[in-house]
Order: sequence, then C-alpha cells, then structure tokens
Amino acid sequence: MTASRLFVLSPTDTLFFRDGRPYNQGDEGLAHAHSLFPPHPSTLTGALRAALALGRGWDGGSAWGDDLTKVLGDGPDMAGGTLRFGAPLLLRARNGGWEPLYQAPRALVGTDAFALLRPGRPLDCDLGERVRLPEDPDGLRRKPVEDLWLTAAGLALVLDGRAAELDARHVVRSDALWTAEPRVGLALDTASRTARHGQLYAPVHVRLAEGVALAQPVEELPDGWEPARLVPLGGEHRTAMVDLMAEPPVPPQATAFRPAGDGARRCVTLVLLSPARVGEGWLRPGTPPDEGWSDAEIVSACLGDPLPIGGWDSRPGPARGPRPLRPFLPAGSTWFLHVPEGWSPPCPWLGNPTDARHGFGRFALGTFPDIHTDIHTDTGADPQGVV
Amino acid sequence: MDRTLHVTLGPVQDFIRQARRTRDLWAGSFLLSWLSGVAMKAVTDRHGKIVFPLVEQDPLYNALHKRTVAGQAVWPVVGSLPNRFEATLPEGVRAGEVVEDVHRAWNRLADTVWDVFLSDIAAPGTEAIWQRQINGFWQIAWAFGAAKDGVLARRKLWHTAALPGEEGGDHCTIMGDWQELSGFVRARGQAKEQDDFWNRVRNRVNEVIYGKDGMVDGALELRRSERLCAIALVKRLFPLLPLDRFEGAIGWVPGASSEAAEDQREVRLLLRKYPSTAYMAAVPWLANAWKRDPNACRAYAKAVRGHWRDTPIERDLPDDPPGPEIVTHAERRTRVAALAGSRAFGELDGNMFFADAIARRRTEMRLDLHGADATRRKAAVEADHRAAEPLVEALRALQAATAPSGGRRQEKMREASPFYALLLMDGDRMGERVKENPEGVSAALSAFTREAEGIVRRKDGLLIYAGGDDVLALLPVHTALDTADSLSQAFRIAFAGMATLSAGLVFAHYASPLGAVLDKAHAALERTAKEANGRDSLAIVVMKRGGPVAEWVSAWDLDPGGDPGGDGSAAAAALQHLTGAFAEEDERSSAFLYGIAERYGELLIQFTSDELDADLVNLLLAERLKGRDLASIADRGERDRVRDDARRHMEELAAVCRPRRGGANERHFDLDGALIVKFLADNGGWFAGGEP
Repeated sequence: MTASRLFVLSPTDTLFFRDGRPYNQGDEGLAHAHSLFPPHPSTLTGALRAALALGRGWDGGSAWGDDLTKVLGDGPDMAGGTLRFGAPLLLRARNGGWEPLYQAPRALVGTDAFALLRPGRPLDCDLGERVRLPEDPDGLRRKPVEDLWLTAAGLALVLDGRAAELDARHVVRSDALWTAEPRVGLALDTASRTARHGQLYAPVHVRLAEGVALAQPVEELPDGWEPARLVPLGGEHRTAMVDLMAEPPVPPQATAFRPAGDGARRCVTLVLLSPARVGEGWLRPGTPPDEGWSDAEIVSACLGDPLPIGGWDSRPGPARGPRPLRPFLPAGSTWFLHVPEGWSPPCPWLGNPTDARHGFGRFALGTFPDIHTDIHTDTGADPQGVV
Repeated sequence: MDRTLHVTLGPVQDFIRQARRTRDLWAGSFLLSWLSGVAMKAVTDRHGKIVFPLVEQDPLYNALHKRTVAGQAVWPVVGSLPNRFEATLPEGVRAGEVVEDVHRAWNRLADTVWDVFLSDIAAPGTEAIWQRQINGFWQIAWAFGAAKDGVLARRKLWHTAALPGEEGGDHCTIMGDWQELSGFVRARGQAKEQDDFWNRVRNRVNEVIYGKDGMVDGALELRRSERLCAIALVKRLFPLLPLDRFEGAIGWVPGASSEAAEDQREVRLLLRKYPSTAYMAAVPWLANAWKRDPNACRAYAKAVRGHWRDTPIERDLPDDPPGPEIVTHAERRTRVAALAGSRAFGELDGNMFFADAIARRRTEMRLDLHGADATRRKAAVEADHRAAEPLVEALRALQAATAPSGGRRQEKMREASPFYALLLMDGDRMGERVKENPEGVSAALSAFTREAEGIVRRKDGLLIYAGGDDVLALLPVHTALDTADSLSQAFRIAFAGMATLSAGLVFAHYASPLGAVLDKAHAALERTAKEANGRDSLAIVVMKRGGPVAEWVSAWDLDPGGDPGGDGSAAAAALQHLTGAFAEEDERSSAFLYGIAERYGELLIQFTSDELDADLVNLLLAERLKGRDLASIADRGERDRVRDDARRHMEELAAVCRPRRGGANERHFDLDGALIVKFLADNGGWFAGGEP
C-alpha cells in the first residue's frame, strides 16, 4: 500500500546549494559563491532518494539494484521508478505543528498594502498585437514583491482575488526565515602560512531560522520504506535530519472562478508553486502549446527570470558529468487565463513530465476580477474570446 | 501618424556585473550603450525621432553618425546612452526593424571577433555553441503607447518573453549560465583537449597583439583559469581587435583622436590597458609619493624596468621589448588626473605598489606553469619570491622616502592601502519625473551626464558609465565621498532642486571579485539607499576580503531640510571631517571607538530617540576626553579650542551614528557610522584634505 507523505528536512547546521554554475576557483584573490535558496526540487529529491536508499541498507557508494530503482528510479530522470514528489515547501513551527509557507506570486505588488496585478488594456508590443500587459489596479507603479512568503490563508486570499485583504499575519519576509552566512575557506601554503593564491574561498551559506524547515511531499512511497535519519543535503558536507510525516498540506485553491466579460468564460490565475520548464508558447498570449490546454487562453502573465537548472550525473559511465543547464520559470510565475466554464487543468503539473517526477511544475489555481469588459481580444483560441 | 515607441535592451545588470577585471566592466557598459545607440540610430534612420533621452549632444550617439560634438577631441570611450529610450516612429515602420538593426550590429561585432580570434582554431563543437549563444543573448523588448501610461513598466511586469537554449558541457568561468566554447568536458576525460583549445586561443591573442605567439600577454588577457562562453569572449577580446576591424565593427575607435592621425600602437594600448583595481587602490599613495619625492618615484620606476629586464622569467619573456612593458606601461598614459605628469611612474602596473603582489605578478606571467604539477609550481613560486626581493626592497625604500609624517595612521599609509571604491548612482523616482515633464528631465539629464565625466576626472576617478540618470565609477578611497557628494549636488543643480540622486558606495579590497563588489553596490543603492531609506540617500559598505564589515546609510542631509545648495551634503562632510580628526589623533581614536563599542554599544542601541538627543553628545564627549588632562594645558585659549574641537567632532559623530533614516523620527544609534570613519582614517581617507 502507498500513500501521500511529507518529508521534513531540518538542517543540522547551515546549508549550501549551488546551481550548476562553476565555483570560480580561478577568481583573482578569492572565489565567491552564494548559496541559492530555496533549493531546486531535484536537489531535495536527490537527498531524499539517497535517504530512502540508505534506509533500505544501501552502502552509500555502489550502484543501486533493481529493488531500489523500481521505486526510486534510476539516475537524474528517476527512470523506471514509481516514486513521485510534490512541490517543495518551507515549513514554520506553529502551535506544536508545522505551517506551510508558499512563495508569493509574482503578480503580487505592494509593501504594506498589497494588490494583485491584472490584465490591462491592450497595446502593441514585442509579444504581439493588442497584448494585455499586466497593470497595477491602483494605477501605481509598484514592483512585484520579492523575498515574500505567504501562509496558506494568505495564498488563499490572493488566489481568491482578495490580495487587498492581506495583512501582517499572512506574509513573512524571507529574512525572517533564513539569513545568509558568509564563510571563509582557504588552502594554506604550509611554507608561508598564507592562503594559496586562487585558493581562498568565500562561500555564503544559508542558515534557517529557528523553527524553519524544508519539506517535500511524496507519493507512491511503499509501506515500510523509512529514510535514514541523517542525510547529506546540498554542498559543503552539510546534513539534515529527515522526518517522514503523515499527510502533506494541500495547497489552497480559489473557491470559485470569476466570470469574464460576457459570463461565458472564467478568469483563472495559474501560479507556479515550483519551477517549471515550459515551451515558448507559454511566454506569449494565446493558446498554451501543451496537449490538453487548448481550451484555455493566456490573456496576460507575470513571469520570473528563467532559472538555469542543471546538476551532476554521478552514475559511472559515459553520462557521468555535468547535466545541461535548462531554463525553468521560477516558482511564483503567474498566468492570467480565460477558460470555459467547468474547466479543469489536464494534469496537476506544467512542463516536462520527467521533471514533474521531482516536483517541478506544480501550480495552484486562483481567480482575478477582469474589469476591462469593453476589451476584445483577438489572440485566443476562442473567437468569442470577449471579456 | 507617428506612434510613440519605447524600447529597452537587456540583460543589463548581469551583463555588466559578469566581469573579472575593470576592462570587462568598461566593455560591458560600453557595448550596452553602443547597442542602445544602434537602436536609436535605427529609429532616426527611418525618419523617427528620439524623444527621451536628449541625444543631440551625446558623444556616443553622434559617433554612430560619424560626428563629434563640440569640444570633443577623441572618439567617445565612456558609455553614455541608457539602455531604454522613447521615440516616435512613422506609421508603417515596424518596431521589429529596430530590433533587427541591433542584432545585425551585434552579429557584425561577434563575427569580427570570431574571424580574428577563432575561425581557424575552433574545436569541432565551438561554432555551434558560438552561434547559439550569440543569437540567443540579447533581450530587446518594446511597446507602443504613451509614456504616461507606463507601457514599458507594464511590459517589464510580463517580463520573460524568451528562454535561453540548453547549455551543456562545462560552463563559462565568468558567465556561469553559458557553456565554455571548446565544447569539451573535463569530467569526461577531455581536460587536455579543453586546455589545448584555450592555449590555442591564448596564442592567437599573442599573434593579434604582437604578430607572434609565445608571449606572456596571451596568458594575461585570458588567464589559465578562464574558459569563456561566446558573450564573455566578445566582451574580453573586442578591445584587442586590430583598429581597422574594430572600427569596421563598432563604427569608431574609442580614445582615438577625432582630429588628427596618431600612433596606432598607442591607441591600441589605450584600449587594452585599463587601470586595474590595484592601481585605483594605490592612487592616494601614488599621488602622495609623487608629490613628496618625484625623484624617488622615478628611481623606483627605473628599478621596476631594470628588474624585469635583468631577471627575466624563465621561458616567458621575449628578448626584445615590449615584454617588460606589460609591467612598466601597464596603465598606459595614466587616466588619473593627479598622476598626469608622473609619466613612467604613473604607468606602472598597479601590482608594483604592493609588496606581496610583485612576486605573484611574476608567477602569473609564467607560461611554463601551464599544466605544471604542484612541486614544480611551488618551486616556481619560491623562485619568484626570491627574484622579487630586490624590487620589494626598492619599493620599501620608496615607501620610506615618501612616507607621510604623523602618527600611527600616517605610518600605516607608508604603504598603499589595498582598498578602492566603486560608486553606483541612480536618480530617484525618474519614472514619475519623466511622466510629469519628459523634455525637462531629458535636458537636465543631458546636462548632468556632461558634468559627471568632468567631476569624476577631477577627483582622480575612472568613469565607467554615465548615461541617463545612472553613474558607475571607480574611485580612490580619498576622493570617493567627495565625488559622490559632488555628483549628487550636480544632479540637484541640473534639476534645479526638483530631483535627487541616491548612491551605493562600496570600499573593497582590490582582489575582491568585481562582480561581488558590483552586487554589493547594487544592493546598497537599490535596497538600502532607495527602498529602506526612502531615496535621496547615500549607502556605504566596507567590504573586506571575508565580506562586509560595516554598512551605513543616511539621507544626504543629516538634518531634515538641510540646505542642498551649500558646500555639499552634511552626511559626506561629517564623515570627511571625522576622518581627518580620527587620523590626527589616531591612538586615542582607536581606544575611543573600542570604548564606545564595548562599553556603550548595546546600551545605546536601546536608547530612545529622546534619550539620545539628551545624552549622546555628552556621553561621547566624556569618552573622548577621558584620561585627557585638560587642566594641564596652560593656555586657556588653547584649552578651550581643544574642548570646542572635541565637542564639534562629537556632535558630528553623534549625527553620523544617528543617520537620518526614513525621516527624522527614526534616529537610533548605529556604530557602523563610526566604523566607516575608522576605516577611512586607517586607509588614507584623510589624504583628501592634505596631510593632517
């Protein structure tokens, strides 16, 4: 029997996550490297799969046998495995339990008083003709929030199109969750007792605040599979304690999708909860390119900077070495869609199915008020796409 | 009917910050400004008009039209055009044509770099990587609509319109998102092939510079550890192009005379030799040394020349010049105003002024260490240390001959401080100002940009970029505050007091990675000075090699409503006065600061604003005068002067430790202001006012 479970990773010290880019040892003087945070889903799944393998008696070095790969999958693509991961979460200790926190959508603007951007009046731009670029509903020029996390109740408000009701109870700044911690490492010249040139390092680690942990949901975990308690996590020989909890939290959803213009279509926001590798068609107005999405229409979007995600294939053989850096849209990227009434997404993830095994591409659905009812769009699949 | 077009080119910050040396920093800023100019020219070539910024007097815009502006004797070096502009475009002209012109210009430059440096030495996979990266790099967004509707800001909210391709293999050591150009992967046993490729490139660099290989410059232009992608390689190598190829690709040769023919070799050297961060750090010391004893300076320059001639490095130096010139003329025709007359001395490689860097420079110049094992490398390092000893002695002699007189802090500046400053500035709420009065803003910015170059030059700095409302400059420690202040004043004056400028100023060790220093300056400017402190502010960071040690921010005027048109801002002036005062009384100042931090630090942080108003100055004054027997000063006038000076300084220190943040109401105690003063006093900040 299998069930949905939640892995909770509590670091034993600082953490250090790299992104596949080189750690420039050759820098003049000293090499700087900042840890990224939160880590990519595949970084966590790598650690968790190792923890599960160790829990099944793996020695930590030899190649995995069939008994492991049929569940955990083989290599970075998790080929042949049944295990499936969800979007990574940050957890905060509250009232004797854990409270999930979600990265704020990129369409959220403001510092103390918040608002959700909305599709504005159409104009011609490099994305096409009559494109409804996002606009600030209050006529201000606020930038998308950065470094902001929302509680489940906070995300629910945003998804319901009620971002103006957000207050201090719903938002957490990232500096309250983790801080950067610069370190210095060096290779010492035994003769001169000074740092060897080019071998002075200044990695900047991440230290999670007290009562903050990383987590990742998992599905299809066979009964009786328990992870090793202590597992290497990220770089610089850092470790985390692993706990397996019962039920993962379910991300909030909009209670209802608001009608668009003529009432025949509905206004849906799609907010990435984890990075997604999507086709170029997702970057433009019009019909999303993926199978099953043809009755949705991208009206507008607030997308983050592409995130290059690579990794390292450590299996012996010709594949051993760096994995290509591939561009992902970051968590928080938001699309504004028009969909037919009764619509539901064709699958619970966006992008590449192999990536989805690691928890990439997960999203939450919300809604938005579309006030520009006099606008006729001509980019949608539906010729009646009048809002 | 004409339509209003807004264009923006990127990536900006990433493209500029991914720099290993000051020339990369210049090259990135210059290329971005040049491409923006190409886009503007594409508009005017199609009978459109540039509305914002004003470009009629812009040297770079005019150079694209093969024109110079009045008073301009050389073709422009500094990027002066912002990465975004507003134009009108006649009906029927596609905005896409502007984008196509930019891509054509970029491809022309990239093709030239490829032809000159790579075409016949490329590895099998190089060309595909090159094409993918060159074609996929620039993001050019545009939108039609009125400026008042904030169309470009709305376009930026959508943000991503294209995704880069997959980048496999090993990655560029400067721009880590992109594959290095050999296409070989070290982890797959191809390290030798990869090294061979990059050695071929180094040799080609030598051939292009000298017409033959086996020279050391190839290794210095592209260090052993550097394996670059197409974008970083264009940035690194285009300044080395033969001048005819350079001009063919860019349209003019920066720094070349626009009036008369001149020695081509000189022009190429100027393009190639850009003052290093070590040189900028040494400037206060250099200027002092030159002022005190020019003969000793000349003798040292001669010693450097002799050293490199008499103790050649095994296998790497050619028999004939210009081998030693790599070191003796590293800063060709110094760009630092205070050193203009210093000739050979001011042209020495910045490393020659730091005792511990001389031997390292020798080792860096060795070609025989390519692929050497640890034992051989160690032997070479030790040999270079031994070989450098006489020159280190000569430097010590110069330091002794030119040492500033005074106490411990003056004694410390017997040697050059390893710190320099990087200044980043940006106008406040420019979007709103433009919305209110586009023509007025455009004219004011144009006036400010013209002024900025002169200000930075007069303060012995190096302007990297000044366009629109942005400034990026490298400065010596002793003029950094004054320069930031003067630029802020010039900005206010250009806008007749209707707009302000914020600044991020980072004091960094010359060996700190430039990208990290620039990141810190961006954070200080955007997050600290603007977001956290409400703009019109100066944020300062002291960054030692292990990371930041002091961070401070204040509104330019420590008191609300301060007179902006006076002799400068109160914040910069207070820091500068205190630096002088601390340098003058070095021992007491250190003990004093230690006392404040240890005894009162925690307590003062908890004081309310009212409590600080009532007690802080007296408390600081008591600590400052502690142990000082004023009664022993017989002359009453002198006694009063000492007491009054101390009080004045403590009033300034109290203001600096209670910088104006978020308005006058939040003025808590912050020791970092005092730490900045101590840093400046320790590192020659007092050179600004002459010797104390």
